[in-house]
Amino acid sequence: MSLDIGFNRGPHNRERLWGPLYALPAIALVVVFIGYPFGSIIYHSFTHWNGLEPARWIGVKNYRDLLHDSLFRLALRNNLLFAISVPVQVVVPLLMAYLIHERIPGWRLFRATYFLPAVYSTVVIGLLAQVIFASHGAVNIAFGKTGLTGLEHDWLGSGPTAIGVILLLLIWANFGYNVVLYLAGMSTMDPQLPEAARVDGAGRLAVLRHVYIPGLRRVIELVLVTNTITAFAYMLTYIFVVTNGGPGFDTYDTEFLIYNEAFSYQALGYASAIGVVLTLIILLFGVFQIRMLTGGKTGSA
Amino acid sequence: MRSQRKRWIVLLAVVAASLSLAGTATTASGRGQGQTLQVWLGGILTTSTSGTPFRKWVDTQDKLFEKQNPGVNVQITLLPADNGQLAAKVEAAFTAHSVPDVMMLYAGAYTTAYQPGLMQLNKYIDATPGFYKSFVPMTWNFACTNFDCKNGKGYIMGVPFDLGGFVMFYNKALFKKAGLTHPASTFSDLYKQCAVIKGKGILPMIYGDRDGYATSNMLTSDLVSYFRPGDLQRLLAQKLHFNSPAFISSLNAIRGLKTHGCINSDASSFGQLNSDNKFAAGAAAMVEGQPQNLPQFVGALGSKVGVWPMPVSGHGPWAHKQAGNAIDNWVIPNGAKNPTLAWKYIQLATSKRMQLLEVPELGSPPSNLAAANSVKDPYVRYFARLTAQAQIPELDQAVPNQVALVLYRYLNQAFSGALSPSSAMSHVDQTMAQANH
Repeated sequence: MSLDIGFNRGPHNRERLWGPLYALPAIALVVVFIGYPFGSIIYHSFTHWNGLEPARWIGVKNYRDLLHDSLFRLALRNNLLFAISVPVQVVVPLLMAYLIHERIPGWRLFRATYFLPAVYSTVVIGLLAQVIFASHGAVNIAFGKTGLTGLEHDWLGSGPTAIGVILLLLIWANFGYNVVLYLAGMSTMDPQLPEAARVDGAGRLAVLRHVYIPGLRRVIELVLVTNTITAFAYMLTYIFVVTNGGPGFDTYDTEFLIYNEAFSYQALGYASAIGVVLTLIILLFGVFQIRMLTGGKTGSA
Repeated sequence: MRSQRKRWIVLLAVVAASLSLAGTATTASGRGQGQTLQVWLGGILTTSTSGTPFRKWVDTQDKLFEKQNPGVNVQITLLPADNGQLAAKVEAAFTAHSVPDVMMLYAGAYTTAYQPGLMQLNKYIDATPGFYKSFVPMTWNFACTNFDCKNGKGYIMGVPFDLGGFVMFYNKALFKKAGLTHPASTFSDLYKQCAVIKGKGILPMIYGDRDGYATSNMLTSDLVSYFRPGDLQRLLAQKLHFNSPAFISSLNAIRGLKTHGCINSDASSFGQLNSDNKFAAGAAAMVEGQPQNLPQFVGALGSKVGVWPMPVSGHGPWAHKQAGNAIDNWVIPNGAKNPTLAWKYIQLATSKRMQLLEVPELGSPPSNLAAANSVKDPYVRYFARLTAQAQIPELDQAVPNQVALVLYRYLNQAFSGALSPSSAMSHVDQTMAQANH
């Protein structure tokens, strides 16, 4: 008795080998640059490792410690606060894109202006914020000059307002990019659909609600998921430049905590455990959001 | 059949192209032109940016070294001035096994934290007759395991570069305007002075505590007035806690600077380097600082600069003594490509010649004994005298590195009022317990 695995059975089967063979370099890259590092992070999350000496296996201790780590809870809470920006980042750019798409007066100027922040590097945006929101910065000067001295505040010197400033930056910086995504989506839609709706007597809001929003479902999904991932996993530069995690620990987020645990506090094993948990949280959010939007169905819209 | 042959040709071409590219890369990286000595500057030299007196010292050292070692090119990298970011850069380098040949690190726990990654220097020191004894004796301990060099027999991982402690810089002209001669020696008297200075429309003290460094410096200086012999050792062994009367009383005294209107209203979010700049611009009567601030202040204010010991609030046996220690070390990481050259670089940097140049450019008392004995600058002689009275080292250099980095943040919170001193110090105790665990 022999096992027929289907190889070497003529030219047709050899044809089937070409696909995997061509994909091999890409697979190798994924394994080397994603698979191996992620595997290494998972392994190190079960170790005590200071980066200088060999890692020591400690089982689930890092995960147990995470449960009692108030700084981790604070960081996670801040990520959730940053995620508050997601609905705003989904809805407001959609409205703006619609207005531009509808060619409101001055739409060209709006299109260029709103896209500008997307061109700036995050570091530049952070430095601008530091200057604007400093105690003697533009915001307080403006309040002072207009007699609104009661509104002057040390914006980056207290936790709640520092978080607010970062939220504002996040929304502002991503606004233009989201508008462009929506505009791209709108331009690919059949123009006869909104036209037909208008002929049927639909107003601007009705056209947006019943024609554009259903047609843009995939784009909305993209904006929602990418902005959620940003709120959890791409905040490091903002925090690094604007507040450096301060005042105290008030603006720490999970990513900044990972960075500090790994490199400042030499706890690479613990940082790996936080990284694994953060990845799982982002995965859960992503899957949940896509399921919400698609009602569990997959495939193209 | 023909199409299959074509596919094979394409595949082989891709593989050949990849190999040749890889080969080119290897050849390019392997082609050396002389030797390069990679030097990373941490510690006080993080701020040796172009045009500063610090940079002048670095450039002089590098030029002299290149002249003494033809064909060698010194490549300088400045580490971040923020202690957390500095630690991160150094740790990342060790983890990635991508280390320079020689580094300057803050002394004490900022050096010993990396012991497994640093070369033991005893063999170089022992092979250089008289080297160990050519340094001010107290400077060595902050370069050794358990802060004890055992007279040269301990595990030495760094060579001390300078000495330091904290002082109160004051603007003599502004003090004169307020009818005062010098800063007060106790907090209670300082509060009274603040009212007088403020009455003349002058900001008494500029305070930059965004990163917690200012409060850390004030605390270290004041703790000497509370501590008794052996207290630091008890603190490190967790037999004395951060949340103890000495720390809480001292923190309350420091917070008094705020309640008595001594400092700028945005002190908690104002950067320490910015506060130095403000003082240099004549915007305040006082600022806390270290010897290395001297070149900037004298450069900007000339003879108006005065130096005075930090105020204290306790009445312990060392009430008017100081906190001080070696501030920076030169180290050679394990895996350095040119350790012998690195050692030569360190020898030059700590030679009498370069250390005497350090005095006007860096403002710090030198660690080299012969240089220390030849110092003429009155300010630096004063710093050296103060440091010689040091009874405890600077706290943030004595506690484990990760505790220091957390301590700064909790001190900032305690100072700003976001946390009570007791609550903030309890958190530090927890970190200390984790670090010792």
